[in-house]
Amino acid sequence: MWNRQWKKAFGGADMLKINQIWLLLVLASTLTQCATPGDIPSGYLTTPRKMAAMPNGCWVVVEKFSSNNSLPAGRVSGELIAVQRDTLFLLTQIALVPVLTSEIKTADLYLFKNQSNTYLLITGLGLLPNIVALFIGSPVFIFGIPFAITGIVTSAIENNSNTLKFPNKNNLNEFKYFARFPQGIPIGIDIRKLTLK
Amino acid sequence: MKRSSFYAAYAILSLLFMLSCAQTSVVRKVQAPGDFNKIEAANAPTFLKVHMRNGNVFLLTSYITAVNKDTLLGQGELFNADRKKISPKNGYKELISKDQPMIKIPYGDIALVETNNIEGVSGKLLAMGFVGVPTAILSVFCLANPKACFGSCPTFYAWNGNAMKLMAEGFSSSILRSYEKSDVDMLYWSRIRSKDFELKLTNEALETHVIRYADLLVFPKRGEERIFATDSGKFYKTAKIQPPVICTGPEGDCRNLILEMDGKERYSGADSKNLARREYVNLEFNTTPGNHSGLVIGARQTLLTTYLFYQSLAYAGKENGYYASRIESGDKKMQNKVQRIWDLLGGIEVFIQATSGKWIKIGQIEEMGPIASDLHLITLPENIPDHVKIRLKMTKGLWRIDYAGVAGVSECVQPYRIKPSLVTTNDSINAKVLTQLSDTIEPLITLPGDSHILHYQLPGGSDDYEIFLKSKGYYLEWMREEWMAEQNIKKAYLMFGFPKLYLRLIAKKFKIVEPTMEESFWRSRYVKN
Repeated sequence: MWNRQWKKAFGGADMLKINQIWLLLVLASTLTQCATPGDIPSGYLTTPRKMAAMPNGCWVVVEKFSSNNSLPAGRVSGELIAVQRDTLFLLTQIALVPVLTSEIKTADLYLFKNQSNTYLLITGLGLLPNIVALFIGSPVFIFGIPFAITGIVTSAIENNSNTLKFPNKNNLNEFKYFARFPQGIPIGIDIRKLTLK
Repeated sequence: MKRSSFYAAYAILSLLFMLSCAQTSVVRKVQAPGDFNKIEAANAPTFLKVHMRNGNVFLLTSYITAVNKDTLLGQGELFNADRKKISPKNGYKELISKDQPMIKIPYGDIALVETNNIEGVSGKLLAMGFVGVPTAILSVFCLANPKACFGSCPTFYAWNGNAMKLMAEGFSSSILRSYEKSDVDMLYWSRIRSKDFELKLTNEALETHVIRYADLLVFPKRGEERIFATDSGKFYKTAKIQPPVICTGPEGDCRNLILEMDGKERYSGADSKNLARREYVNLEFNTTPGNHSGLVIGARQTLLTTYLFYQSLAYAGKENGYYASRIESGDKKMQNKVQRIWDLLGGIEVFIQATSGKWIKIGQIEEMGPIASDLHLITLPENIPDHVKIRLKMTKGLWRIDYAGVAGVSECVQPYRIKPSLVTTNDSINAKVLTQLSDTIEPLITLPGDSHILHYQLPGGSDDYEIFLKSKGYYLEWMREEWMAEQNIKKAYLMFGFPKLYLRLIAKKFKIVEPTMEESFWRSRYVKN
């Protein structure tokens, strides 16, 4: 009600402008969301700190070139066990799968859980007083705009920071540091007995 | 100021962006055991992963390299090739150091040593904290205590030799069109950069400002001469300003606070039982006999009047429009009721002690406004003795006195009145605003966040000028939802019908917010310049 009075008495255009800014900020926040494949086991998507201390390799999703143009391209998804010469070894839900690098069309290695949502959550919590102000029509909500922008920018920047991407951003050699065995598969271990986290 | 403010804002924004724009990343280094010693101590990570040749991995939370450099000693956990936790005792020697088992790992068994550094998190949290914490504190404070948040009349900034500084607020008491009046403010700190004098006009509060003109009153001056204005609108040339030799208030000696216009102000808290209670500040000056002298006082109001003004709007609530329309349509009774409460609070009354010991009132300062201190001249009677005692009587907790001095008054002078020759808005010429500031039927109306640079051409014939701002207009305070919730017509009647009683009843409530009002007020500006 107060918003109506404010608009009527003191400039509807400006109130409209401020509401539009908030609407844009909310829309911008939705654009910062990124899609993470749903088939990654939760144990492989942790915080950056936990990931750094994780003894396992990171999760990789590989899209392979189709050997036959009439067939759909293959997709392999699993823990990166090692990168050796021309082969990536992925431990899938079923078995250890070797993938020739020459067959790889794209490969995404997920380091940790996308932090974008975390920053959006922090921003949302920080803006609670301003959201309350917005609902009761108090102009105090204006004070939250700089923080909302900072939060959305931070969140947008975080998008995709959690992945290594071949061939767009990284080469496959960089992937090997995030394998369970960065030194390569050790001689003498029974690879059939390896299991996922 | 313009340039330095820009650079400061740019630097802060750049810093924030540098802090927040770095993506969170895990920088993983994998080294051969022989290279591990090369890691500098400063970059040493908090834990270490040691990949063994047999596929096991140690996760060490504390570690040292042995003196003979072929062994790593550490505390932590061991995982097998399938990454199941196993006992570190398996195959490795265990030493006891300070009651903690230390694992001895020969370099020969190590394939790689892995370190991890997480980057970008702290900077981002710092950036968000830098912006978010003040935002949250301010928002919560303003929601809880809306009458302490920034309100003002048009604010004017001028060059002080280093930066554009807030120097004046226009027509603070003109809260409706019927209270519209002109106001003269001294731009005490202004310095001349060229004949093109710039004044920045801003609207920094949740208000609508209606400005008919903002002209300069300019006086050529020489050397140490200063020109001050009396409240009756006369201007006098002055010289040899003497500071007080004694200044005492109820709190004791306060002389150090009023020697310079430096922002160090003498003020007191309001009375806890009666907001209209008066206090005295006694000043003593040595003067030059035979000279005509005047008392110069630099002062501004505290936020007491702002609080009462906002409180009156809150009590009137939805009825504000009705009361405002009655005042605007010429209801004298209503106008007088509003005036009564301000009269009760009053201005700074100035008394001089006669040889008989009696205190004689010689003038009064009534300028309203809590934002910028203004300077006022009160001429003293002729033939005063070489040591004069002056008393200031004012409402306790209502005035902040920055400066007091007695000056030799030489002559009454007339100003050059200069209108803006150019107005720029966002670095573009704004002919419309220039026309609106020419006292026409269509005045300049500004909304929160509006800002214009007014350019004036100073006259020739002098290298230095005393500059005053003469502005005319009024402003409309925006209603806030929090105030509407406080609507209480009975209290509004009490406030305006029995202001003496009301100022006693509200005292306790005001004292709760008084200590933090000034800081909160400045922090809560809608726009900061």
